[in-house]
Amino acid sequence: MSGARSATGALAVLLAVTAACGVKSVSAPDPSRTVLADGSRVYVSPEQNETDGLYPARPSQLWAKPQGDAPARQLTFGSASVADPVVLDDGRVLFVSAMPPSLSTPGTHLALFVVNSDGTGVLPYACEHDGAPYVRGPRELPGGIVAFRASDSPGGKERWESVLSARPFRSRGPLPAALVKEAENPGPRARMPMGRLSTVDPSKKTGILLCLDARRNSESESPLPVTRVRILAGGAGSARALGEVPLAADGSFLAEVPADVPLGIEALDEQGRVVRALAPWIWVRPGENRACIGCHEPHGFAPRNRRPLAVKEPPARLTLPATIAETRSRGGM
Amino acid sequence: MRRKVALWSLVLGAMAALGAAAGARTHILKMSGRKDLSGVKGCSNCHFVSTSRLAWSKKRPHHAAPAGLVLSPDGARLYVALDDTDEVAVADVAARRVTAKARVAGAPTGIAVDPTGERLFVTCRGGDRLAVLEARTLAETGSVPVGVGPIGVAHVATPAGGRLVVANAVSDDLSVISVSPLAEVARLSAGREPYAVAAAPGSRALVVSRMANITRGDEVPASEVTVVDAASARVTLRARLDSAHLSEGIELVPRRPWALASIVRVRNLVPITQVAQGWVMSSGLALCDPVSGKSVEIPLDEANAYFADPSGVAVDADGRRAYVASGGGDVVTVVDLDRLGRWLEGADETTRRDAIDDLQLSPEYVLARVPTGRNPRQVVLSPDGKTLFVAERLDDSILLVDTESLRPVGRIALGDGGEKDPIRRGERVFARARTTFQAQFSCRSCHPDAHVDGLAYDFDIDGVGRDIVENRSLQGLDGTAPFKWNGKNPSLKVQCGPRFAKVLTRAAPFSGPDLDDLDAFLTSLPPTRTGHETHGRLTEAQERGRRIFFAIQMTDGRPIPYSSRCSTCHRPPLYTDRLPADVATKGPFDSTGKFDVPHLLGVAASAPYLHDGRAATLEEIWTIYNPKDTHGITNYMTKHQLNDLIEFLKTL
Repeated sequence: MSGARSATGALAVLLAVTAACGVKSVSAPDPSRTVLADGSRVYVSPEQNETDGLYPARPSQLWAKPQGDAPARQLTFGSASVADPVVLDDGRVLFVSAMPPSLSTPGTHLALFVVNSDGTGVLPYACEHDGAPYVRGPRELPGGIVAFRASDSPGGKERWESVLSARPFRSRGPLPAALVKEAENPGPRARMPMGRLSTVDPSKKTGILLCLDARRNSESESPLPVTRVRILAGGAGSARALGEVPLAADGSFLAEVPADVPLGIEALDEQGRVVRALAPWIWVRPGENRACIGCHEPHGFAPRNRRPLAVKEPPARLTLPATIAETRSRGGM
Repeated sequence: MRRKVALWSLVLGAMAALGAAAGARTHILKMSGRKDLSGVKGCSNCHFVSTSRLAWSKKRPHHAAPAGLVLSPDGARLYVALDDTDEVAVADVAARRVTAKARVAGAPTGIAVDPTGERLFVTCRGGDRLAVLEARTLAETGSVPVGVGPIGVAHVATPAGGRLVVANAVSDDLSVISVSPLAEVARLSAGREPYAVAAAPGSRALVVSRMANITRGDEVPASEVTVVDAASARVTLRARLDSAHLSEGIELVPRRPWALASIVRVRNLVPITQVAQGWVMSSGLALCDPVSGKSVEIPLDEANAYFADPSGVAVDADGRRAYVASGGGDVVTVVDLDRLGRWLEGADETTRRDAIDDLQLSPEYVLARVPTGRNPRQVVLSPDGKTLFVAERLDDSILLVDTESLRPVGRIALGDGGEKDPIRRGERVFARARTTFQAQFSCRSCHPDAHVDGLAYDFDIDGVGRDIVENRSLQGLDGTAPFKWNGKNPSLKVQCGPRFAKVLTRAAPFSGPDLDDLDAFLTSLPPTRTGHETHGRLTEAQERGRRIFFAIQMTDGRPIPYSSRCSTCHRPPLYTDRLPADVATKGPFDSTGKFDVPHLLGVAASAPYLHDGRAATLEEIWTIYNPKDTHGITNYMTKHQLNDLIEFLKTL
């Protein structure tokens, strides 16, 4: 791990990829807002060069450095660089990264994500399919408001926007003027964030992916004609297929996958055509059981109460190709 | 010389201890008829167990916890049922203080008033009766037996005179009672644990059942709204509330075809891979049409904040606002029913069906969240709708909220809150949701009254889809360690410790003092009431069943091996030997066939049965799941003998 760098600076680099000038600096939130309940400080590493792009060979990641001599622990393992972490009151870390590329989105849209303090449970938080595509500097304000800066183009004119934590995917809009001053200087946090015991099992090298219905999607009530999925692993431009997993009759699948590597999913129809694709972006931590509702699931929905058929069979075991494992062991992923 | 003696004493002592341990082990193996026991078992597994020494048989402090509320028709007096102190209190609303208390035996819980304001009707859940009090003096003027564990009561005006509809939570039925003369007119079937009752126009009463029905395998559980015609004393409708559970409040909405029932939307069929995004459960309201029985379930939670354990519901007179107490979240949620109505009108069938899972929906109709004291459970509105009264159950107080500003304007103290009592403090830990990630649920969400919810859950710590286990009662726990179905937790503090935080709450573990208090609370809970208490005398059938339970030979004289007798593993007085046993119920997704032998105290009220809840009734344990006499030798029994055995088990 190379030296830590300022989170805001990391995002400036992200934005500078496509526009080398005109990016306004955002005052960093109070340092207390990057401290987890256990006292660890969250930061971004490694440093990026301006030419690295959103998906460099060695993307910047989030790390948590405990107090004292204990080594830092890595929190994110995606293929896109991350920036601007802040610890939310619920104990998760909110950060900025590029949206995972898919068939419909090229992957240049920045959005807000959250991850648990042990690196499990990474989820989109807001700004995925709405508004200006460039966001940075998120911060949690009182009253369930998350404020951030947004612009329509790299280096373009920025404005304060916000979402409500009650409905982050349906409430994006201008930040009320009365709150701009607080957003610019949120000050020390009023209360400690919620704590969490890590669910990571260091003795394991894999995690579980469970999808309740890969045919379910946010765009249509009609199920997608998906019969199996292909799981990909690896960094941007170097992803390899780990294997294919057939769907159970209810559209669910269960797979045991390598931990701490970017994973992508391609939903395939009967002829093997890609119906939906998610480039390698998500990950599972060792021993993590990761689940989703559907293929490009509707955000902010809880699952329907029914037992997925896939859990009645052992998970499909997918292992890391030797080339990726080697790259990973060299710290290149 | 002295050193030599000491050394020999040590050696001889060690040899004696080893010999005693070996002897004890041989004794245990011989007497249990088992060869598969490993590890050291103590004498106390079978001996030296006395219920009189258990925490739940000791005296404990009682608290003036508000269980039921009702206002006089003029709104001047608030009557409060105090189940833990066996009292009914009356408070002067203007003075905001209690002016009188009267003793009402049998845990007074639900309370209603007649339209004249002259009489109070009080359910006594510990006494299985309905008491009638004179409102002015609180003197008890009458009493009538009802079903077991009555909770909710409503007064319904009918052409034939006043009727009372009482929800009997333990016996799963309803009592319809004529007010004059005071008598039970009918006993009607309802859902599982009928709980809250609301009067409705047309001589009707609406009853919501707290528990989901008992399901098998992958069936979706459902709670129930039961519609009763109080005049004819008949059930006219039984409406299903899908995946609803812990429904503790119901109220009719004027001007609209809805009854509002508070619900917890359970997702027990989904593996608990995460707590985020409501994967375990979330809170909501069921909008049930009491004529058609159709319902729409809507969320009360938000995408990143939850308001656990919705309980009492109040609706204003013009049907524009509803108030829902969140017992785990310590708030009252205010719902704008006009906005809700507009949203419903614009929603298509699919949107309505999926509404309860849409965690971003509630800002469409939630107007405010009003913070309260601990564990708000019941709410009532003043007749003019200007003041909301909130029962803060674990603070022994009533909060008064101005409904225009939605700010607290006062509080009526009923007791001292019990801060010095570790049992009370433990109950607070048990009921509060903020120890779970985003306050999504409390211990009580799955263990209402620290009992069972009748559901089986898939905890992913054992592997996704593996080791699905039924919820176990927390009542009558003291002296029954170890805990969990696999018996891996030697104490409650281990059971509720860091592993619990990892597996379920996905948050920081309970603090040491909280864990101590939680332990004090849980061990203080006696076995659950079943309504089959014998009061020292068994019926003939129960006595026949008792003999079968302790039988050492079959009807034809063949001996029953020691290891196959009921009383070997289910040894009195707790009816468990606290050892793991394999009764051949290992399923295809279980990693072991050895399960902790559960105690049988209160077993009649703890359905379903077996480790994964596959047996819906006690009878099914043997008629379906014991074909090879692996769970005791029982197949020699006739149907009548099995019935007798079950009659005896119900008395435990």
